[in-house]
Amino acid sequence: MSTTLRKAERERSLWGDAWRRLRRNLFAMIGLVGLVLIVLVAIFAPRIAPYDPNLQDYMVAMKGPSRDHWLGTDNFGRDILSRIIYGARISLRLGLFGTIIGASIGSLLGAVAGYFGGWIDTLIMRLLDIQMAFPGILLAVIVIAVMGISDVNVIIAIGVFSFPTFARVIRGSFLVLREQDYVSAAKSIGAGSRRILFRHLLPNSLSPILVLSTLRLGTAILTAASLGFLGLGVRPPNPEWGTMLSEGRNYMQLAPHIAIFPGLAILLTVVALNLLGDGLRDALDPRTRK
Amino acid sequence: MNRTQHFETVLRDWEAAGLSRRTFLRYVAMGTSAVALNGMLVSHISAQTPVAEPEVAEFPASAPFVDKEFKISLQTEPDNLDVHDTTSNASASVDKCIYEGLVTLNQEMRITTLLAKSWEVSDDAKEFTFFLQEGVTFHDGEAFNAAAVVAAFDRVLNPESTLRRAGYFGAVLDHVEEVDEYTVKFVAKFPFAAMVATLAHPAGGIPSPKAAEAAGADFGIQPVGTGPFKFISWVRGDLITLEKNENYWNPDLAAAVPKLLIRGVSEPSALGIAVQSGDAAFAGPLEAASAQQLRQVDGVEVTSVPGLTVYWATMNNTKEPFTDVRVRQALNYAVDKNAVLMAGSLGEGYVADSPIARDTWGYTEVGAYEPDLDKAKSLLAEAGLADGFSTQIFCSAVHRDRAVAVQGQLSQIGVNAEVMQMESAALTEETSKPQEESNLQMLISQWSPSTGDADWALRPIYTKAQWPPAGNTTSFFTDEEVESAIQQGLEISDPVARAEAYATAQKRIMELAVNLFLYVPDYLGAIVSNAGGCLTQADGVTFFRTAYWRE
Amino acid sequence: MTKYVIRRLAMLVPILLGVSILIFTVMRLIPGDPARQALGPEATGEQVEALRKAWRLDEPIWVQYWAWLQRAITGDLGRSTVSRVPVVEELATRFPATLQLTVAAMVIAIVLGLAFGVAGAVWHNSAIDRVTMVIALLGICTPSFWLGLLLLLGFSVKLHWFPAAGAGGIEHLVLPAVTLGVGAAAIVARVTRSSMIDVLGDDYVRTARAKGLRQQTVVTRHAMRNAMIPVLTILGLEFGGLLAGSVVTESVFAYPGIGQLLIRSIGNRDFPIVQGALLLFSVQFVIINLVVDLLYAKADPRIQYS
Repeated sequence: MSTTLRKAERERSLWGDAWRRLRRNLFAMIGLVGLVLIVLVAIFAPRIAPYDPNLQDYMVAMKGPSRDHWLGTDNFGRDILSRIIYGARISLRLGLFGTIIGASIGSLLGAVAGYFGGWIDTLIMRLLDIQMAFPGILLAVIVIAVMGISDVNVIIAIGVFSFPTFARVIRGSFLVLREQDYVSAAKSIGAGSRRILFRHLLPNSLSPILVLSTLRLGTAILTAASLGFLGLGVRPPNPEWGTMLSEGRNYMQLAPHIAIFPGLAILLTVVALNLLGDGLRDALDPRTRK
Repeated sequence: MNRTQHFETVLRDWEAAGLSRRTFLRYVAMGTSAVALNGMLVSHISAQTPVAEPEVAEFPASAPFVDKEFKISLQTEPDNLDVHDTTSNASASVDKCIYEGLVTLNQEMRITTLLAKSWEVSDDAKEFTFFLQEGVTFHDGEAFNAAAVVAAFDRVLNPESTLRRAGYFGAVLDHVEEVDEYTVKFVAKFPFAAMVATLAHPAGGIPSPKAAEAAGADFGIQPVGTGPFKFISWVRGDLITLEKNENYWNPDLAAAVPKLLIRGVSEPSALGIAVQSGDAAFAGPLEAASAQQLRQVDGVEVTSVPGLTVYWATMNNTKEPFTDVRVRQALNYAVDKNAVLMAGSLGEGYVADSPIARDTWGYTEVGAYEPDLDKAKSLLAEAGLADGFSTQIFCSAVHRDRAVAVQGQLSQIGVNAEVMQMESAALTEETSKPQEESNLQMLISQWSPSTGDADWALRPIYTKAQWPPAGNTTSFFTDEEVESAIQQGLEISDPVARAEAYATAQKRIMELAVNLFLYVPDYLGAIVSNAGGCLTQADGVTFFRTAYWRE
Repeated sequence: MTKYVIRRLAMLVPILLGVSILIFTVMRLIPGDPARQALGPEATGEQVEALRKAWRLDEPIWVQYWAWLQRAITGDLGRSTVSRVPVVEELATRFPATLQLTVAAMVIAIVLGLAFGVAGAVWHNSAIDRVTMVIALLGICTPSFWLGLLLLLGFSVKLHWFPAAGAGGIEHLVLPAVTLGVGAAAIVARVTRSSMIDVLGDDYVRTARAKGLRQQTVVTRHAMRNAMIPVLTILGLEFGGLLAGSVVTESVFAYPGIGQLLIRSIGNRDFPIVQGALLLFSVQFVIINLVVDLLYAKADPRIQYS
């Protein structure tokens, strides 16, 4: 009874400390506020967006920014601002689910490799070597080629693209953790592997997973955009940012705004995620604790 | 085969009118179309005077030589420069500089002699004897003669051959034999009067047999022909260098520039930028956006040729609800084609007012479905679909904008279309499935008749024999009236009646709204003002062996 | 040392086998027929069938793989189904271009990255630090294809400083290399900075300072060398990243490298090329990692391989 209480207290203070440190970090707060704004925009897109993102109006096609269309229109006369606002939903969703898949598979593999060691570790690490040996974006391209162009497949491609990084980080953290006294203690009182893994090791690896997830979310959004740029992203007319950029590349000279604004949207979102991720890392890193 | 039948029927009438079979075949061999022959026949019968010799078009003579290399950017890099092993337009464009055929098509796409001085055709239209130019040598110094022609065609007709043009020649050509050193005889598998036209295609270029044998499978990167330019190098993925052939046999047609540097630029905006920034003297075929931008640039001229290609959205006529003609008509009424033309090609083209393009022989203006949402809605209501329905539009990346435009337009009448963009190889697999297995509902598609004739514009797209996997009737359409009109077009000899048959077919196809007809695009290119002799033609092949500098 | 290198190189064998089996299987799962793609839309079904036979695509996959492997061991990776050129030659003509591009990008990454990183560390917590780190952050977060298009628009179209497409002289290399190198430069800058900050706080650096050595000497002589180890690690990783990035960058600038070839070959279902190019990437990856590990030993005498 008392041990659980103390443990809960300790946990609270770990995250509480982290939060206090995070709050003092100006850049991290800028990132957090930015991210919250973007998420709010995504959630309330139908209320915020001035137009239907897929509404075609050829009377105003290819017009630059104006009072009616703040960010201009594309070759279908669609409002770029509204498309970017709705695009936040798609880009965040692709990045988030892709990262979750990558983090789950990667963490599991890394945990198994790091905990059991021996031939299991060797096997998993060699498989990861093979995966790491060719460029991730190509892997994503091949996944799309095999499975076809669709949202779900982009998410799977991002998952496949990002799981090795998680696996490596979690494995590294497990290698350290499993030698810790409390794990030995748990083992000595006869705790099973599963219990040790899920009760002791995973919770203690949460902070690297969280930090990495935040940073990889940015990468995931960039990957989704790259796929969109290569014409392998979501299905048209969905306003995914990378796809919008790819649609605009033909008009770089006649109407550069079509490609420039979606690029800015990607940039700002990824910046926010990175600021927050860096801040989280500093806040959760035991070395920076005073 | 069908074209052959057509010629045969004309010949029957020709002989019945007391004209010589031999003259007829000579005209045919010169590339005169059946339609033109019919015209001659008609004028002969009416005037009872001998008809004039039809002109063989002149090959454009070259401009004065200016010693300054000439850079050309193509939309894609050629895949392979073996003239008998490519179907790519980019390769054909370069091949036209390196290789020459016995006959060829000039810039206006008419047949002219090149390596042959003249030819004769046997009475049964099975043997074609060509009298060759003398004193011509290949770039490798080998003599061009009958033996070379025979060897070149033996190579592509070899049953073991996997050359991409093996089928093109193998379908009609039995073998080629040497008569004497400068006379060669082509023997057709069956009476085939269009043999000369077949040889005038870019694929009819004659490669040096010795070089081809020596290079084996590498001939595609070591091409050797007789043309005004010889191949120097190909940095794969980057630059093809051709050099003026100093030993070229015909001074009138010799190269006017010392070097051609040819590059494939796959990023569309970069292709236009290449001309603007002086990286290239000519670029094509261009995207509409680049062409429009370049029109505003001083020192650059934009070339524009109406295409033979028609874009449309196929509707699977065997799948609900497209089995109902009212639904298909409703969709045709719902879409503002000008808007699609705007979105897809920024207005560079014209709205299709017939299933075939204006420059196709046999074209009749039928009239497009004028956009009318009320009519569309009431037609849908009559078909019991007042609330609209859901469907899928398949497309590959090149047709994405057209698909999105159609999708947007259809949403106005409650038709909820999902754009199924696929990788083009995956889409080809889907469109090659037979009707029972096909998942196709709507499909953004196109056709360009390589013969420029109504028969080849209609038959592959609107007849049951051409349902996938055999052909390209991806609408799975069939209609007795259309089938018989297309058949008639081949069988009757009177050009007026023939045109009428095709007019009937075009009207019927439009009336039945087989496809959702969109537009005909222009083929665009850009050339710097101090250069000339380059053009992207109506068939998408870029012609530049006559490239020259103005002083 | 030599033994170590040989052992590391021997690891190539299982990796290449694994990669080749994986690609062989995956490419055959992709919908779309290489023969149909090679022959074009006008080809009849019979022609396609004949070509499939000629290419032995109708045989079971393990038979195809075994046939491929036997030839691959002798250095024959087959011929492209599109150009008919031997895969080895197709790769050999494009590899120098990709290598040039990645090396140029790497140079940009190292020069800019070290300069920014060291500046940030030396003037830790100053305005310089903040500005350089914000720039680095932007560098990491900018989508490279977008940056490429912007550079194309600005420097090629508007200013006419550099050509828009192709390869050749140094002028063709500038824009693609910058596009590709900026991201890596940013990462190098961040790692260098944090590593330098750690090192500058170490005792021996303080001692050096206490001895009255000039700041410049302390930084270049003492701190740099020790701060380089994490930087080397990240450089090794980033080189792999640059290879991946070249895929997209090459498409934007129509740069004639392996990346562009690969994307096109996947689209054309040109299996032999895809297979060959991915094997080449794997070899590069292993070798680069080996070189990085050997450089560790150079940077830190305590590390020894045996």
